[in-house]
Amino acid sequence: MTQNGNIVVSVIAPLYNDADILEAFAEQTQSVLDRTYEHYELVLVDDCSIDNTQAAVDRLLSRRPRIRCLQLSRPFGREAAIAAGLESAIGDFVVIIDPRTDPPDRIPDFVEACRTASGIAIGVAEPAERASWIVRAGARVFQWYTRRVLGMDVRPRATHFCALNRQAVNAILQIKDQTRYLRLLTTTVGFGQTPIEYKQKPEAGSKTVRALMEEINLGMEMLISLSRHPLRFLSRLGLFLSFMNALYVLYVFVVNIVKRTTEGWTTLSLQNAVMFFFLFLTLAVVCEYIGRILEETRTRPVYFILNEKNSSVVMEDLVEKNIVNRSHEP
Amino acid sequence: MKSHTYDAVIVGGGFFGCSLALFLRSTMSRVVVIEMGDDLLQRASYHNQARVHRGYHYPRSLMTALRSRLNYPRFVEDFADCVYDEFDQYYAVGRKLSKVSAGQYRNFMNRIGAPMREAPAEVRDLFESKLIEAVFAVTECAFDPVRLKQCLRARLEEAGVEVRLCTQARRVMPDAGGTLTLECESSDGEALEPVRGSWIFNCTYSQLNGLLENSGLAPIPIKQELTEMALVEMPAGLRNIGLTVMCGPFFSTMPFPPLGCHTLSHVRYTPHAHWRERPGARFDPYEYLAAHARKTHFPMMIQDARRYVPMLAECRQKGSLWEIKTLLPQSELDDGRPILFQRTAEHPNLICVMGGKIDNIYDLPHELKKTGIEVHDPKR
Repeated sequence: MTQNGNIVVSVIAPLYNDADILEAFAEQTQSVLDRTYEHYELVLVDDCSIDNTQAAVDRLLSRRPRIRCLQLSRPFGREAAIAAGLESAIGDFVVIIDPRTDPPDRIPDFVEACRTASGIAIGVAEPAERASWIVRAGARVFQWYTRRVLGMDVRPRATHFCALNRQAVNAILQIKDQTRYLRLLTTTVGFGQTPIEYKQKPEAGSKTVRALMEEINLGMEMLISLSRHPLRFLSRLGLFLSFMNALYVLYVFVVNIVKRTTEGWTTLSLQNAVMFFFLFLTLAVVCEYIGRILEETRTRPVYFILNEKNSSVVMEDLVEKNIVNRSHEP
Repeated sequence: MKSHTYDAVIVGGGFFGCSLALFLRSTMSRVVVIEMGDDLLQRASYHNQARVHRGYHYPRSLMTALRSRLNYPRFVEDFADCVYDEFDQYYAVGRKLSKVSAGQYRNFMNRIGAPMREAPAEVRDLFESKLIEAVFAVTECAFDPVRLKQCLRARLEEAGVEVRLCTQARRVMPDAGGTLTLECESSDGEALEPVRGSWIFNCTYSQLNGLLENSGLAPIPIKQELTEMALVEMPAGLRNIGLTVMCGPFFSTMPFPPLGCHTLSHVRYTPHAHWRERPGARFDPYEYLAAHARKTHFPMMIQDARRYVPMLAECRQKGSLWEIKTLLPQSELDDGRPILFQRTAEHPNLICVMGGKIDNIYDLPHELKKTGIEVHDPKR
């Protein structure tokens, strides 16, 4: 406690339809924070839930101190919710936690690693048996590729559970990219990353088993925003094939003049097929990049905030006298 | 007993009570101010940000902003000795979480005729441009609440308004002659001689409902906040500057003349608790404040404020001002600060007056006239 007396820790929890677990999560988290830190805040970011999360938040705010809740104006997605939390967090150290899957009692470990070892501590989930072999194999290929091409070690099981020091947070906030994958941003800013293995909660349920498509999307975002390698690879290949095409044109001319024979169907269709394959592959990659450019040129905010609410708790001893409950709005 | 009938009895010796007494004395011969403390202007009139509002603070409430803008020159002229203007006042507009944008803020202020200009580059550089959209320089001063108290005391004396200190108003009872009787007690709970008045004004701010409830009258819906304003010593570069970030969960810092330091308040961390007063479940906010543990929120305030103005990291806390702040529930929506001027249904001659900002007093004479009380307002 003594060495933690002069730091402020912000814990950000993105919410989406989490009314059922919110109370237990807040209680667990705050019991950890209360005994570890003198100053902290718990920032809930509600991505415009459609269940009664807001009602649960209101109940929480009237009973527990040091919580505030940002409510986004419409569902912007988890990454935008995290961005909103990061932008409004005041802490020297900022912890991002998934209320459904991550264990709050590991928060001090994350902050400690972040303080002593490196600017960022990244949570790595212990292998989940549920992941299918396709996902695992894909992850391994992707990891190999990013390490070779990007020179970055992307951990396939890295989760959202992480701690950042103020320097890292400020660096991330400087990135103006519209696509805000946190895992991507932490990779971009560097600052040294300490992996921390932890066990996700068993009751995590279907919400955490990320669909294969989602993984593929994330992988593509990572590649596209971190590197021009796919584009460069294709432009080289394109150059090579154009050259081959030129040779072929020459060959057609020569044959036409010298032999005056009818050429075969095989060469023609082969050339056609190869060129079309390449053309569309190039188009696909160019599309991806153009999509990105479009996304980035729209400099509208990543999210809008509907409102911010804060804890409002009348002193504990008065709570016991049952004065508070009567003096609040129902 | 006849000699103890006053034309007007004012309960509460804050800025509003004293000013009202002076207005009433212009036409009434016997006016008394009843104050529970041992001096005037000791509570919210002192424990406050000492800002003389000129409208810049209320970009979401046209009426409040406009009235402030119109009343400002009058206050500054009226209390020239109490005004402190040896600092530059700046209003910044936050990028995120702000309820106004820079353009909209400027338009609003132009519309009400409150002058604003772009802040000079060296002031803009104090702010983190990623979080602050624009900074405006304005002319707006502070008041010295201690001088204000001395000034009002002298004026009350000069005008011949009686002031009873250490006198707690208990309850208001109707009496036979159509007048009202105010039962009083000393700070030790000893019954004092009751005071009779043709009019009684309840200017007790956070204690409004206390007097009403004791008198068996319906309470007024009000919201109470337990607030902390940090007193800080500014680094040299910020010493002659007042800064306010609009308009959301942001902070404000400006000189606090009587102590020679700055106040730092934060929309998110200044309120430690708030509650609505409800019939039958009221507790005395002052007792609650006295019992409160008063664990300062300064570390949180500064942690947030330094994100916007990095130099603030160097400021040192010297203490805190703790006070109960009373608001009308309707101001939660538009952030306006209208005066409450309400005659009680049971006793029409008992009037509750509550204002959130000191310059609002100049709106009172008009309201008094509507109630049938002529006062002489020299400036109109």
